[in-house]
This record gives sequence, structure tokens and C-alpha cells, in this order.
Amino acid sequence: MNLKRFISFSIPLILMLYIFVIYLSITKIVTNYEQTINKDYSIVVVTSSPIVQSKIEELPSVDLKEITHLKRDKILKDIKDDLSEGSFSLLQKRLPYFYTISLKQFPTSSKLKKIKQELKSVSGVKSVETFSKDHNQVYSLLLLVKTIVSVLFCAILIFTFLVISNQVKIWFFEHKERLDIIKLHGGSVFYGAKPIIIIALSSSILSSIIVIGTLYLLNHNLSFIFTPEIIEIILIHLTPFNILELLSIFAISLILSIITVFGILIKHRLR
Amino acid sequence: MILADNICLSYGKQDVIHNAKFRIYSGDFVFITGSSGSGKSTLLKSFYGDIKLKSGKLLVNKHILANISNQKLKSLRKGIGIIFQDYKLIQEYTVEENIMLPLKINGYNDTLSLNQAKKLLKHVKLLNVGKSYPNELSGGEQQRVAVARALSHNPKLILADEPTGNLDDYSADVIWNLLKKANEQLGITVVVVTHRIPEHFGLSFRKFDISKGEIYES
Repeated sequence: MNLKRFISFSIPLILMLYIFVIYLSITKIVTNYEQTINKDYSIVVVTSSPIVQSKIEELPSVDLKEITHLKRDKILKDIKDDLSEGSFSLLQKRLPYFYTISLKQFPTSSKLKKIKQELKSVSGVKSVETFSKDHNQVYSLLLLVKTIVSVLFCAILIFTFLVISNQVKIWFFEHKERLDIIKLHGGSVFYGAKPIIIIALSSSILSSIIVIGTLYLLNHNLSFIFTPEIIEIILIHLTPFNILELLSIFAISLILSIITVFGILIKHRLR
Repeated sequence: MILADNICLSYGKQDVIHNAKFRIYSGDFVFITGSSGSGKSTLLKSFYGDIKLKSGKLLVNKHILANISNQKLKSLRKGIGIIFQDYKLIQEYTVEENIMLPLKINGYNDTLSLNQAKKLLKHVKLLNVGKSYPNELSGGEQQRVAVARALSHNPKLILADEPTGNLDDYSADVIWNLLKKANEQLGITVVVVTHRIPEHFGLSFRKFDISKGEIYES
């Protein structure tokens, strides 16, 4: 009977943890991809007067990482010999200032549009150019996958909560007589519900071990499961799970079990 | 030990006890009798807070029962031994574990609880069934286990609701003797709800009779 209850606690937890691992993986891939494409990406701002960094930082949509002034001297030096002194000094006066702006995060198309508008509103800015190469489509697709997995994870989290809370309610119903006897002898609901608390805690620990174990096996047997192309992508974009991430798998399983079981216990205690 | 001052009790919508006033002293052996539905079990249940008072004041073992908090109710019950007509033994627990229950609730460790359980099993002459489950015992044996459980944590008060109601004469005699011993030798106050007081009880006792919601001492 306890084994049955143990399994019915563990299965939804394992399912939820697998989705959580997928969510973590997608997040890591998106973050790594963002960092990679961020290196190839910049916004060029052309201004009539030197730009003040704080003015750019004030813009709400611009998450500024770095602003670099492109030296005019080099451009001027290259063409100096082809121009007369008069034309050169005129050009020196008229040549605008060029800046490249790097952002902390790779922007989405809509955010980029907003950034462009905000940058144009800064006084002295003549034009704003963006060069995003062809990353946008892949990035959007990754963001879509991340959103879908987040929604799926939330749905599974609610489903797991409902399944576990139902199991706890059934347990309470099955053991009502025993709990009543314990209460008549001055025992608390928590004392009477020790077995279900132990089942909840041990199944959450076991579920975490199973999921972390699967991750370990996957990590060491990639070639058995994935094609070389996918392995390449995984190796480039998916960094191995660190201790903190593994602990988060364990923590989410434990917290969900504790909240569910103790929530129902408190409800029974108040009756 | 128990002081009732104008207590009124109801069972469902029906009033069963009206303005009852009585006092049970420490060391008393009290029988509460009355016809079926007279409210004797309801009265007993009110002593351990299983039924709330409608009005009046009830003091049990230094606990005031009107609007008693959950914590104080637990404390009250921890100091009482309760025996039920249907034994109320936990079927998933062994006999020993059932006897150990009040001790564990009172915070005794496993070794101490087990030793006490074995001592009491010897006392109720069931030493060889410690590892058995309640459903493997006869009704009389189960009630002896229930008496052992009620005595396990050395309570000052034992409340028994029709403890011999389901038993044959021989088993009933065994239970009465155990309760008498608890009162005589250990000084435990015993309050028993029963249809019929055993003949030749051989111990001085007080008797409360409930009739039409009134309590008379005879």
C-alpha cells in the first residue's frame, strides 16, 4: 500500500522534474546563444556632437553594456592625401561622431525598434543603424521554445500539486480512524501524519536522484541518443549543470512536496 | 478532579443534559448510568472535549473546557486514559505499539515505552500477544489491550464508555477487575459509563443516573 502511494507521489514529481530540466536546458541554451550573438552585434549611432554616456543609460529600453567612440582620426588620415587642405579642414569640422553601442542582452526585434526610436530622440543623434546579421530568426525560435517550455512547466507544476494533494487527501480519508484515535489521545495531526510526511519527503528525494541520475547518464552517453549534429550544438550551447542547478532540482521537488503535504495537514488541523 | 457547574449539552439539535451540577473527587470510582439515548456517553465525551458545552462551566483535571484551545485540549487528553466500547485500537499497529501510543504522544522514548507496554501486557495477562495485531485477538483480549493502553502513561483519570458492552461475562469481569485495581492500587479516578453496574462489585463507588436530561446521584 505504501509502495503504491510512494509510486503515485514519485511519478508526477519525476515528470515535473524532467520538464524543469528541459526548461533549465533551454534557458541555458538561450543565454549562451544570446552571449554568442551579442559579440557579433552592435548598434552604430551617428551624432553631430559628442555623446554623453549617462544620457544613453537613462533611456528605459537600452540596457547598455558598452559605448565605444569610433576614432575619426583614422578615417581622416586615410583620406587626407586625396583632399586639399581647405576641403580637409571642412570635412574635419563637418564629419559626425560615430559610436558603437553594445547591449547587455540580445534584443528582440520589437525591443530593437524601441531602442532605435529612443536613441533617435537623444539630441544630436543623426541616425541609428543596427546590424543583426541573421541571428534574429533563430533567436526568436529559441525564445518561442523557451516560452512554450515555461508554460508547460507551470502546467505540470500545477498538475503535480493537484495529484500529490489528492493522494494526501486519499491517505487522510483512508487513515481517518487512526488519526481520530491519535487525536483522542492528545496527539497532533502532524504526529498522526508522520507516515505520509515520510512518503512525501522520501519520494521527492528519490525523484531528484532519478532525474539527476538520468542527466548524468545522458551526459556520458550522448552519442547513443543524439546525432553528431545535435551533440555539436549541445556541446557548444549547453554547459554542464552546476551544483546550484542540481540543487535547484532537488529543492523544487522537496518544496513542492512539503507545501502540498503541510498545506493539507494545516487544513486538517484547523478543522 | 471534575467539576460541573450548570452544564448544558446537546447531541445534534437535541438537548440531552440540562443545568447539571456535580463534582467528582480525585480517587473516586464513578458509574454513570441511564437508558439508551439518555446522554451518558455525551456527558463522558464532554469530559475529554469531544463534545462542546452548550453552556455552563466544566473543569477536568485543572483544564477549563469552555472554549478550550487546541493546545490545551491536547494537554488535557494527554493526561487522561480513555476506554471505548469498540476498543478503538489502531489496526495497523501491533498490540505493543497500540499500548505505546499514549507514551509516544507524551514524548517517552521507544525503549521506555516498550518496557512499559510489556509491563502492562503482563498486568493484563497478554504478554504473549505483544507482536500480534488487534484483529488477531478476541474482543475481550482487545479490550484488555485498550485498558493497558489507558493505563500506560499513568493517567490521573480514566474515562470508560461502556467498556464491557461488547464482552461476555468472563471478559467483562476481567475488565472490571482491572479497573478496580487501577482505582484501588494506583489511586486513579475512574469514570465509567455503563448500562449495568456489575453485581458484587466489591468496591465503594458513586453512581450518577441520568434521566430526562437531569443528573441524580444515588
